[in-house]
Amino acid sequence: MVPPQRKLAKIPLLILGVIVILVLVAAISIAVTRGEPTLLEESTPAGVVQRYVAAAVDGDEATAAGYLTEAVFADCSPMEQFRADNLSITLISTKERSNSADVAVSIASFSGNGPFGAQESSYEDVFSLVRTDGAWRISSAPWDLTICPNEGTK
Amino acid sequence: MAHLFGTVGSHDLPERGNEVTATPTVRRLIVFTLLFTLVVIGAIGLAGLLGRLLETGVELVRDDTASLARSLAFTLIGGPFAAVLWWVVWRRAEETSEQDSLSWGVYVAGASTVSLVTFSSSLLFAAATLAGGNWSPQTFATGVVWAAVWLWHRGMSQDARRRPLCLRSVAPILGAAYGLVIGTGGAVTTLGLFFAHAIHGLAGVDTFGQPWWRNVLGALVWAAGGVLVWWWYWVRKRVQFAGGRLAHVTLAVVGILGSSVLMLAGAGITLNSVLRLGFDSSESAARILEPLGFSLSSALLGALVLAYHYHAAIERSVGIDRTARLLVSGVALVAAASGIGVIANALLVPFGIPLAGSGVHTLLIGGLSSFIVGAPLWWLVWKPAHRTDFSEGLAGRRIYLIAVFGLSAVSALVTLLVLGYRLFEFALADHVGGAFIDRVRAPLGLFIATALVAAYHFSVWRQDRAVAPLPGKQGTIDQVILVASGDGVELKRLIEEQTGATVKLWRRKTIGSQAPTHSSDSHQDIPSSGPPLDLLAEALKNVKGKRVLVVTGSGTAIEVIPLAD
Repeated sequence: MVPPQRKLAKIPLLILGVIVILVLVAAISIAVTRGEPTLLEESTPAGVVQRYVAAAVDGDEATAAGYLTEAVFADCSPMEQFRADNLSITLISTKERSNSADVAVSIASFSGNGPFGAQESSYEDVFSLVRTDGAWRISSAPWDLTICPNEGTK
Repeated sequence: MAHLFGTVGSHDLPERGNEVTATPTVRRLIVFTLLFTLVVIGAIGLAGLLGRLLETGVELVRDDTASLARSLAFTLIGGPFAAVLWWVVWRRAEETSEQDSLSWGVYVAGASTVSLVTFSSSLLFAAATLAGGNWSPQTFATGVVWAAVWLWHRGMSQDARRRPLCLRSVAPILGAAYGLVIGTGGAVTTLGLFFAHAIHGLAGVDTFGQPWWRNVLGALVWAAGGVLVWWWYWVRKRVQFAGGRLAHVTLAVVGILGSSVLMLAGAGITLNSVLRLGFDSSESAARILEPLGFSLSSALLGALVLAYHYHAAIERSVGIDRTARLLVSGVALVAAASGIGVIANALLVPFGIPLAGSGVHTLLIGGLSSFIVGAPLWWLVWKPAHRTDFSEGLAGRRIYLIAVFGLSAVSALVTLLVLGYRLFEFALADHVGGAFIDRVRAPLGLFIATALVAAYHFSVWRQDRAVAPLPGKQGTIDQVILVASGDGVELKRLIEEQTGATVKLWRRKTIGSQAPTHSSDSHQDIPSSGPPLDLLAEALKNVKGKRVLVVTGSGTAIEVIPLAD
């Protein structure tokens, strides 16, 4: 049974209306929740990771290095510096044990250069932290987010 | 189509006639292939030079003499030769035989399409990266040069005296399809990024990195460009009114099949994410919510494109409407059947030996969402209980039933083989009982689903056959050659349905006007010019023979001539 044509002609307009409404809702919610992402407590593993990544993305190596353990300093070798201008990092989960913690993040790099799939590559990796002197420090970071402050001194 | 028989030599002509009619074809083939190649080479070279000219960045090292040499060679050698060859072709194009030829039509259609795709994607790419803060002069130059090529060929196709008469609607149809695909992809990406950002904000997921609106802007540029190209061809060039097989096939494949797949995939993933958020606690909210933005936008935009083209299909003709319904019901059937298979799989999990972690919920929710998304749509479109338009479109419906039954029977057979293999492997290797269920539940689930589908469609097919036997049973003629003026499609369909013969349609050349390619009265019952249908049915009643020639004109004169073998 073919529905009457007049009724059928309204359906695309209806869907368009739904899309417009959803876009408005999304815009309002973005405006409401906009601003700097809430800074987590520095005493939590997630907070340490957040501050480390924020500093590294900013190019502030000194501050970022402050969140790494001594062992990482000694062992690191100057690799390619990650390109900070195209990454988007999302905290996924935290597993906290008595002396160590794992923070899983999703790292996505956009390219924005094609009509399909602006999200070119997105993968998940884990920050491992250890508790030293009551504070959490990063003992291993994902490849893309590793910095090596003492590059020239090896 | 009549032009085809005019230029490509007919097999029945004597040998000498064959040579005479084949030579111009071969000549044109070579000439146009050469012209196309030279135009492409010249355009590549010119684009390279122009890009070099536009580059304003600071050069650190310049050591690419090779590419400069190539650009110069392409431009200075390919360009002039292309121009000379084009002038030769253009001068001859005034002759009717040249205008009529298939190669001329193929060349203009092909060159227009290639240049459209190249220039639009280059210009859009340049604009999108500009929105992201980078300027790429080489891509921009490519876009400019190929835009010039496109404009040039557009001018050629509009020249009243020399434009090709064949395949005139191919380039606009392909252009509209390309614009639709690009526009939909860009819009899905734009909305997807937008929704994803909003969802992240609402769900309290922390993201930091580059500003999100740059990517949205880039995708928006692609969406706007694609929609512009689509609108230019669909509305301005009136492709939405185009008739002919290519237009119908493109509408069916891109507008209906593609959009329904997009919509169902998006809706399924959306429902899956929402259900998992509520009932499945195996993963964190952030990971579950990741695909939600894109899937939501895919579902919405797929639905929009599908609804629009479905409406357009109904407006055109009932035949396309039926094809559209069958396509959508096929896609929905796939979704529903895979949902059933995964649900069956999930229901068998508790009988196995689950190790740590329970994937039951995830599996079950996946199957449920696929089924919930597919089954109602399938029921809506297939409407098994209300088969009112029974007699029409029987052939299409039969093809669909047989295809679905065949495909599902083949998959059922394959899963049965896998089941048998697993069974024997288990029996021979002496494993624990529960492990058998674990190995077997995936193919078993699939087998149940495909067996159900096959059984249902087989029964529907049997019912159809019981009510109306195949028209071929009445067939007394094997092949009919129909010479008709005007559209002739209605006559062809009548002959097909009455005699079950395959009909080859040769259109008469109407004096003083071209054979209509954009026919707007194809949905009328009576052909615009030609004998009434019942006269034709009467004339064919007692005709027997392997091949019959039916000649009709604009009046009511019908000649039915059985041919000797």
